[in-house]
Amino acid sequence: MTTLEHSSGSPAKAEAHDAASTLELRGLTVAFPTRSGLAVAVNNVSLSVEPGHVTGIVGESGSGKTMICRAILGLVPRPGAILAGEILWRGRDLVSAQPSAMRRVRGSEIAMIFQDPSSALDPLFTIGDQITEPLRAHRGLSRSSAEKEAIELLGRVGIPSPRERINAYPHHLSGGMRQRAMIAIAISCKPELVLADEPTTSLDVTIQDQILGLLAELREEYGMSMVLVSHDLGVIAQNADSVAVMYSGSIVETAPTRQIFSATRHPYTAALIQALPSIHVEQPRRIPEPIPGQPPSLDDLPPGCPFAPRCRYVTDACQEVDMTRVTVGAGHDTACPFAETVMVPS
Amino acid sequence: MTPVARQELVLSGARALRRQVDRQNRWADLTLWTGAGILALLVLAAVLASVIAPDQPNTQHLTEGFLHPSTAHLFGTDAFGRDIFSRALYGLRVDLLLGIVATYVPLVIGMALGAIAGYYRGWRETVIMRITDVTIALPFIVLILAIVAIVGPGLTGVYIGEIAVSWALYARLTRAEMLVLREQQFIVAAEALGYSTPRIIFKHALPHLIRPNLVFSMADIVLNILVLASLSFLGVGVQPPTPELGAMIAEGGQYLLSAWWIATLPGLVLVVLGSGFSLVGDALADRFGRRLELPR
Repeated sequence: MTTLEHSSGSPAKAEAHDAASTLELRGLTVAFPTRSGLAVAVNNVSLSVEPGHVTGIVGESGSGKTMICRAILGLVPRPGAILAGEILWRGRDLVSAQPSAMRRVRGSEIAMIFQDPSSALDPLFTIGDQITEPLRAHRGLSRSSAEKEAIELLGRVGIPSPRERINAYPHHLSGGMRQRAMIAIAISCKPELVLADEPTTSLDVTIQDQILGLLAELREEYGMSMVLVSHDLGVIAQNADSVAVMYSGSIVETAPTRQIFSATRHPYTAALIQALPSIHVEQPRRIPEPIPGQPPSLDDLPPGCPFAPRCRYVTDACQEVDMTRVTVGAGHDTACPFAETVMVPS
Repeated sequence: MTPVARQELVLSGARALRRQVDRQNRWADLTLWTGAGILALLVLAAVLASVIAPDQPNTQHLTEGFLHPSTAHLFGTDAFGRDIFSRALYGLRVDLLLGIVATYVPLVIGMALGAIAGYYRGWRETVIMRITDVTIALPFIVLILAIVAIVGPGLTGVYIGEIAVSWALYARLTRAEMLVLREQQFIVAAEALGYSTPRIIFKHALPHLIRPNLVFSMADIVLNILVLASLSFLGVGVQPPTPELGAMIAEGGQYLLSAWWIATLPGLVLVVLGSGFSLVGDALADRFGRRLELPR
């Protein structure tokens, strides 16, 4: 285990698990055929999620964050497909798993929380129906005991008067309440891993904080690992133990959370941090700097490093970069072979 | 403008908007209830035919042929002196039953096949949709005529023929809706919860697909009843002396100039029945925000 001394997770609980990481992606590649060629949405991604830890994935829209989550569950939308790589879940490869085995993993071992709870909840069924269904389908509970458990779960995720709310339809609830209900559904079968795909993006900032707090509590209580996907570095900074930064389908840097801010080793990560507004007293007037240009089209990636066209340190050698990550510290990898020389002022 | 005047202006605008919405709602309600009223009346008449009808449908009174409509014979009598009102009531029974069975059995079959095609895609979709295309490509009435020719004339042939043909439009409609639905987040969420595929298709997806099918079925009932009437008119549908509205129109056709009521009044019943279904269908389409149209 590449434990991180600053880890805000629960090391005691984590050690109770198997020493091997719960989830490990090896060279995962997901692509979509398009009219102009193959669009590589996820490019040779390797990543591991330690038991009981939160792994953050941060990146712009279209950088492949959501696609990684869907690939883990075997739900890559057609006509896309996993072209290469392994998804090792407790030592088993999910890419080659039978559909029936995959169904047993979904929901009961790995659950997903979606970005927009108003479209991820079925408008035709009550909240109660939607929470009792996984309980009855996966855990074989009777109607009455599933209902009892649903009320408990709703109470646990902080929905007031849960006994009445189980009869409410999604449109009766506010956005924050819907996301709480969505979380209740996700944790209903006590999964070991939760994939939280931008769980707070559609919520306003105060609710965002409550939901993230709730997720942290539940994770502690149930001993779950979590993949936290966000485009918001701030959310990741506060909630993840380690971070993977994605750009155009590739992971450009992974590091323990504190290190990604204090010892950034990839120009893209540095540019992302520069683009954050700062409230630190020591730099009162720092203006956020936007990253110039647009990410490249996924079906027409430039040779070498995809960030090169927008990179301030770009050289001709960037076209030769093969995006294999090099280790630059404990648990700290970067895809930029020049980072040590260009980014660390000697 | 003073604040009071401004407020008054806003309020009057809001009131006008409210009136307009109310008017639209009332109009939709009126359509629905008129249609439902007509249908209720006709269904009741058909169900209670044996109670309401003044005479047996097939009893002949040869001395009382060609009587004009009167209080004794509301719709007059035909060439054999049979009471046309009684025959129309019993005929309505046959037509309504066929309309409902020949619409909702295909609806169930078509929805199931369309949902499977749209959800799974791949070879299942290819097989189902090519069969659907072939079924739709052949003219409806010709196809039914062929099936009736094989099974033999009579109601059984019409039932088999209509069911064998009219599922195809529901399959096409449902597949198209399913293609959109399956990319919805809540369907992906159901997949992510590890539910079985049949559970996702039939429990989670189908409830969302019922509405467009229901709206279309209202137009389809009318269509199916008219097909039965047409087949009877052509002589391959309901066989005499069984009363059926289309067959009655066919029989009366030859006396149209001398005794107009024999063909016209049963025809009028058919028109009223069709209007009832159309009104309900229109109102449902308005409510569900869809136009009433054939899925071609």
